[in-house]
Amino acid sequence: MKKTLIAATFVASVYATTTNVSFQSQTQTATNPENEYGERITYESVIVDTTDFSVDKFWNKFRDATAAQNKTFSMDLQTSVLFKLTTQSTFTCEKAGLDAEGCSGQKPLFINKSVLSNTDLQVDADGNALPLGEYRIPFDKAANYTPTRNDAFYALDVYRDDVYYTDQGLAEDDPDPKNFFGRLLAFFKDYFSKETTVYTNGNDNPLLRQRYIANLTYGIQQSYKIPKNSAIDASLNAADASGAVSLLDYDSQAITEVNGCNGLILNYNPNSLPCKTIRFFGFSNFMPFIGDSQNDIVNIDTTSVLEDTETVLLTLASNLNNLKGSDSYVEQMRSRIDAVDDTTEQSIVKELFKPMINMMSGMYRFFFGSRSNVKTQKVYIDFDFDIPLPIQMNVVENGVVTSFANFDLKGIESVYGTEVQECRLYQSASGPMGAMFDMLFGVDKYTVRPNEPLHNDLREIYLGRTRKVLGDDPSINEHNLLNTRREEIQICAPFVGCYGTGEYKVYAQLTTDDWLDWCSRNKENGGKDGIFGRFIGAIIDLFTQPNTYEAQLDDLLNDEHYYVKDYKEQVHKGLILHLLQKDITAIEVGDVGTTTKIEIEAISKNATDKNAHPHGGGGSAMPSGTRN
Amino acid sequence: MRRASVAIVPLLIGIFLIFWVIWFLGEESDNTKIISKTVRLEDLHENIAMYAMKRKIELIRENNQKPPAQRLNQQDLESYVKQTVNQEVRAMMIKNGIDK
Repeated sequence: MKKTLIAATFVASVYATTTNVSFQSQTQTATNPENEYGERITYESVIVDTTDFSVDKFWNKFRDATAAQNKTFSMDLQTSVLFKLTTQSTFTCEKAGLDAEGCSGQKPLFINKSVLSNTDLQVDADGNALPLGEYRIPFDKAANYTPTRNDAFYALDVYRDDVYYTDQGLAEDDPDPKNFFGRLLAFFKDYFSKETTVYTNGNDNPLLRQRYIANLTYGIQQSYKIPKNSAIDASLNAADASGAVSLLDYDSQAITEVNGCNGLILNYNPNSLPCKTIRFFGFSNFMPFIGDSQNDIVNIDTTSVLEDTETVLLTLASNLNNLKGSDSYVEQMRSRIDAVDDTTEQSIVKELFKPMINMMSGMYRFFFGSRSNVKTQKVYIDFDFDIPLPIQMNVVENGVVTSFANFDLKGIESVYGTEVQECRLYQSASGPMGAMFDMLFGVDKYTVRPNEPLHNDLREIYLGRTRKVLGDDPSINEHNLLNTRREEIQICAPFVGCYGTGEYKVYAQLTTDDWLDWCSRNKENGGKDGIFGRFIGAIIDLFTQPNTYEAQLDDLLNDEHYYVKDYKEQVHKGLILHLLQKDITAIEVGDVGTTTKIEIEAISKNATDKNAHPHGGGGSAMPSGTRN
Repeated sequence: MRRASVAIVPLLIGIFLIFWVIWFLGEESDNTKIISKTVRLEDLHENIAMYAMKRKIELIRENNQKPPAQRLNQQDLESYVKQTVNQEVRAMMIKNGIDK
């Protein structure tokens, strides 16, 4: 008995238990590819199959060993689990470099349905048609949004359930805050006062909300997403009467000029006594190293929704393509900089490395000045990614979000343009005493604005008299490119009438644009050329004759002692996204930049009994059946 | 009968009870053990399915992050995923005492 017992316990089952896993994709995926938030849905099932699972029946060993009963219990078990995978993007605004206030998710992107069928948006920069599915869509101010616009995309503040989107933790009236900052805020409010003002997510600050854009990529922060077939209320975005879509639509910089005193080493504050003294007595005119320059302090204000959008897009795009073993996008851009020409190189460098270029140009200007006259610049960055940045926009039809448009970002175009707002200039008498003369007797100051009629005094400048046809008279010859008007000098005598003398007065005729152009070129007059540049410029002028319209105009107005007192210009920026539309099915589980949520839809089991049952023998427990 | 032979009855009853205990309760105890192990197996199956799904997504993501030259194509990726997951699952099951 004992021997048999021992032998019995050492009998192992002949078949080894093995477990296998296999995957199966499901047909439901094809019929239901996206959910109500535009997220990609896929179904997949996993089948876990254990064969020859065996359990020792211990007590059976004490029964008759020859009985036809199993000493082990054996079965196969197969479990099939159906998963529903919801894929959304992981990239959030914060990873792109904006702070939490900026990323409060208040501005999803919207386009009207008619945008996607607008052929004007399907051409490239040279006017040639783009391949099918590619668009170049400009970014327009939220204030310009109307349901009929078919030529731009917008980032809109919209109501949802009558509230703005808020960051959960900082909601003012949230009785049960869900994160640390929420609780901290609640504590402060309780302990100190309900009126405690805390800097929140810009909920109540329209300017701050104007600034930020979030949700550039699809997915994440689902509480900010807009479900399909929900109406949007865009009335928060104040309407703009002009309603024009222009590429140059965002005011991003305002350059203002302030009078100051530039020394060789020291710069005097314009409001300081030494500077006022210098200007009052006109020392600047005969002291070689003190300049009463008209342009010293340039204030550049770069806050704008546009800048944030560009920053976010560039950062996200570069993060996304930061593959292991290859260069990041920014690195690739560096090598591209070498290959492009001067203008664009300057711009790209300026955009990517803004603070550095400001410092560099400031130092450069101090010694050599700057003579740039560029008015419009176009910078474009074409991406060439294996893994493009995905962008999802809500498509609106009749005020309701009916679908979602998924795009790959192929490139960004930035258009810069300067537009003069105002130029104030004056004409001063010449010489060392000139400044004092101006002070004592006043100077005529003129303001020139675009779209305003020009002051009479500025319309014509008297060049001189000539007997000859213009071009032959050397005194007038130097202005041969300017528009001129000749007026014959007439002598009128009583009883005789007037008759021409054959001599002409010549006037140069100037338009508003001429003046404004001159302003923009000479807004830095005095300081513009720097210390050394001014001398060199003067020497060069001695030996050359200006041979362009602008140069002659500059010369003329210089001789006439016109100076720019104040100059205001606006730099507009426009953003165009080059997008390739793609179907939702192009987004797959496991794509870079996505997270997937896994949910179990159904579980089914299948068990196979592998025990030999003796006739009339007792049954053993057998699990089977399906379970949801 | 002798007085001592009265004791046989409880003795026989005792032996009978022992047989009954071994026969009946033993079988039930075996059944209980089988049930509990099987239920455990079912739970394990569900956990493994979840693990396999997550692992597959991870592997796909890792593959996508490789530079294009080293990336596997669809078919190779599937077989690679299957192979890797199966290896890991078998190791898990052996540790759990299911697989042998």
